Amino acid sequence: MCESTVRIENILPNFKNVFSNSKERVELFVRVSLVQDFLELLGGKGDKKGYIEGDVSYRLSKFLAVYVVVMYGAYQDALYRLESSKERVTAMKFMDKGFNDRLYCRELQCRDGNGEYRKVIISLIHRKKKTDSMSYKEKNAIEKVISYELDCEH
Amino acid sequence: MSSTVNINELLGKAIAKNIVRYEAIVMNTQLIIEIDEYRKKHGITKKQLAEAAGVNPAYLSQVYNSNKLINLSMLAGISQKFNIRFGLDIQDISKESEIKLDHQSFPLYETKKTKVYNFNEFTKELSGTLKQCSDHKKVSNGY
Repeated sequence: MCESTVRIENILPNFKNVFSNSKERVELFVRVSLVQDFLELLGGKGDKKGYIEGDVSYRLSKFLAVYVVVMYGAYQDALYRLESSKERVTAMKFMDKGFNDRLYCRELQCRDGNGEYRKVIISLIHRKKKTDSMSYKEKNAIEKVISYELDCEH
Repeated sequence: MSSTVNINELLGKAIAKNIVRYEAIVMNTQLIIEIDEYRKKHGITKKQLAEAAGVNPAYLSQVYNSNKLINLSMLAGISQKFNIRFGLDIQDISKESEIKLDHQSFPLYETKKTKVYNFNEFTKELSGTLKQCSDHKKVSNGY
């Protein structure tokens, strides 16, 4: 069964016009079943003392920067990068202040009445990544993202 | 349910409180993307880029992470070292906003590659966001 997705602008409506790239159309989605966890990731607390509970400005800042990279149609190792070029699995990186979380995404090349566009779907949240290298947990996470049935229509 | 509303409220307050910083992050991220594209195209290492910018690689890494913002001295250093020039493009977006507000949520100005939106308008729409976010939660249960 195909996974349902929701546009990021339906979750954070004001992100709709923060940034758009006139060179390439990119649309960002989240799996519907992930919406609550995604909001909690933005609003949750970190592990270190320096992170104040309820201070969401840090993660929101980070997500905004990631959002710009995605909408630019670019990759930038520190924020958003390709983890599997063959399957177009990418990772949004939230690293600092006591956490090292990743949002794994799937990229699809789609077409509608307005032409071709890149659909980026936030598909899996991977919390507290421990090492810089890719462990079996990260490999499993990527495999899981690949296993989701995602398409341009939903 | 209550935790969702609470998170949305927190997100909204954070946006309102840090609006200038967020605009700076958008600009910083665009600059870094462009610089990184140039760096890769010309086989420049991050260490060389940091040296040119007059900072240590750890600091440059923070800029790449958007934890720190790039400054003019860094840009000048990069410009001098690699013999490149950063464009300066000032546009009045207030007139555009008057024209475009009837069919677009926020005023925008266009640069060579991108459209960038006015964060003041972004703030004004904040209360609407909070309401829609909490409404979305109700709707999402019915997906």
